Amino acid sequence: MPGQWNRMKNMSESEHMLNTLKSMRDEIEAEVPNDLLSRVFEIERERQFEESRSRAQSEVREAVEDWLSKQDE
Amino acid sequence: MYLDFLRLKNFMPFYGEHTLKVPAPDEGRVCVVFGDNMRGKTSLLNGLRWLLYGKAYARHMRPIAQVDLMNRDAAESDEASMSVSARFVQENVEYELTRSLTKKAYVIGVPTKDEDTEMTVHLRKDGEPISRGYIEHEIARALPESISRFFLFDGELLQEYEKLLIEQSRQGEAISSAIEQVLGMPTLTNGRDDLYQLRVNAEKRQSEELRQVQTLEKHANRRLKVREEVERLKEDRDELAREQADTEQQIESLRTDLERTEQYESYAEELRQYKARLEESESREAELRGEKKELMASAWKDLLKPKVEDAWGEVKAAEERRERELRKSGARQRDKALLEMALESGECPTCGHNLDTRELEVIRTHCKDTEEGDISGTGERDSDVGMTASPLGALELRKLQGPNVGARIRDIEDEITEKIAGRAQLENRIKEINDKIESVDTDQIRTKRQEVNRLSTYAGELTEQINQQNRDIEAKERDIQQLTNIINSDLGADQAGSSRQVKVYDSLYEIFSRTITEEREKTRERVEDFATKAFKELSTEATYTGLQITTNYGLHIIDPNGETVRERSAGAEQIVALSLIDALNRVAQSYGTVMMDTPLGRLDPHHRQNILKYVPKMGNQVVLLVHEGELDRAAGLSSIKEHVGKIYKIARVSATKSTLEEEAD
Repeated sequence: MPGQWNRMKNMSESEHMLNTLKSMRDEIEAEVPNDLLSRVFEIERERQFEESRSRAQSEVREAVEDWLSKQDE
Repeated sequence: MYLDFLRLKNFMPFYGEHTLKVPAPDEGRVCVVFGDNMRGKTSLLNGLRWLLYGKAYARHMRPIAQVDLMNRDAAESDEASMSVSARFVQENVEYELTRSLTKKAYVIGVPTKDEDTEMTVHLRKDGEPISRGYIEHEIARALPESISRFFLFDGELLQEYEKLLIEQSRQGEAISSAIEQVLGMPTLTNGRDDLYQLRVNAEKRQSEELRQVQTLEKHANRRLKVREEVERLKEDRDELAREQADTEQQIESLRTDLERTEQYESYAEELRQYKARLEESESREAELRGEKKELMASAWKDLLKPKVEDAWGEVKAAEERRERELRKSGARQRDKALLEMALESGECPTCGHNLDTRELEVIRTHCKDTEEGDISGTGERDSDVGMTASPLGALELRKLQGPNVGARIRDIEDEITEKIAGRAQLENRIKEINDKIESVDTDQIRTKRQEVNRLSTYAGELTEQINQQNRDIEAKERDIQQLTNIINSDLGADQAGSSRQVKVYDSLYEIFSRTITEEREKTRERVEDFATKAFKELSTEATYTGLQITTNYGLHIIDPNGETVRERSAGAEQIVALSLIDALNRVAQSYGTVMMDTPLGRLDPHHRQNILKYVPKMGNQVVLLVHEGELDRAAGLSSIKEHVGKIYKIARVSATKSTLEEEAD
């Protein structure tokens, strides 16, 4: 019942996962900022139980294009 | 979070309305529901499953048609409807969910198929109704179906966990995927897959744009070509995977059928044995009857035996008398010859002295007496032996005598009677078994078993083909990555607007992929630690050092030498499965309601006690559906008395109706 699966609703667990993502970013010296990484993570966390991935993909793409356009400015 | 109540109306055997009021965590974490087999324990579990997902399963996860969930008496009544509802509270939000099934207005008579019925679902959050289109979405968010196996614990789960130990098994992968969902991993795995797809799309755009750039045209075309090959390989692999899933489903279905006929097979073996015994008995009886017939040919001699024996005795006595007479007569003849010699010579034949007149007169008288004695002795002899005077007659009398066959015939008759009685028993048993198995086609069973073997081999071949496809895909992905690196390192790539997108998606994909590997490793370690702690409390085998987790979240038992325990009993499987569930609950850092159907069935009394003591730690509400054979009310519950909030009993009303009754403390 609710609670068993609810690890991601627990903020400390969520932060822990994001921190692992950020440390991986540092490890491979990826040229993406933490803000963009956090945004992508946030979208995926919100959409984790959706079977169709089109909405999540569209939001991630928007986030990436938005970040790239801001880079151009 | 806690479940307040579960209410069933006309659901399976629960005719009318029945409510399971689950005690709040502070009222006792354990709610025990006693019920005999076929009374409705699994129906309670299915009630909750149907309420949440509109599905219910029979054994081996066979879906039950919705219309068959409706109580038969209710289905035949004018009302013809059923419903299940529940109230649960989570993070201070109260949810009330109701799912109903009603016969469609135009259907006449009893609904027989799902199309004859209409399903409706209602959900309220803190008293506010949720619009119809969002209800399933809300349920999927609150309680995704794939994680239901962790709070709706039935026998099927045990079988599934055993598959976790088979590396690369498709079912094992599906279960481990569900486990990862419980652990929150979909955020990362979905992210990785979404980023992969976005990168592929960006690469395609980039390749199209770079076909105009002379220096990169060749690489761009090559990458497009390899990407097409990858997509074809993936399509083929997915097709193979579908084929494999179908094959495994067929195997499962055949195994279910075979399991059902297992009992019949044991009957068939019993039947073979009884028939062999019957044949043996019949053969022995024929043998005995043959012997008896032979003996009967001389049995009449037994009837004459007393008279023949008397007659034979008389013959023997007469012969003895005759011999005696003959001996006497011989002596007399010798005496007479001596006397006649003395009369003639006038001298004693022994000493030779002269005989005087008186002596001669005495001898003469004696001679006369001897003659007379001979005459009378011969007459007596002839009359005595008259009956057996002929040697042939004595021979005939001898023929009338025979062995004592009567006793042997009586023994044979006793044995035949015994055989007949035994055969009647065998024939009755054979008839009973034949009645039981007459509907079973043993040839069909053999064919099914051969089919299972054939399909299992085929499934193995498919697995190998899928693995080969995956290796090919990985190799081509590496080629694509190399081409991407070449393209991105060329200044000409900047001419394509999509090049920057490719780089960003590539980086994000790499970050997510590496994080998944890292998180999986850490999560498995935590699950292994918690499962080992639970296992040590639950198992009565103190020498086992713990559990070792596999990539699929399967758990091996480790013996004192650090070796994997290869053969595990059904009880051990149950202990390991419970340990895994407990570990998953703890790694997920929260406890909810767990409903367990017949969780103690395979266990010995010591393990039962261990599990009962552990049950209150497994969730903030644990509903145990048990029969009294697995849990003794008085002795079994005493160890967790302070944790038991409520006790219910599912009582039989009729073959199709049960009632749920709360019992007094």
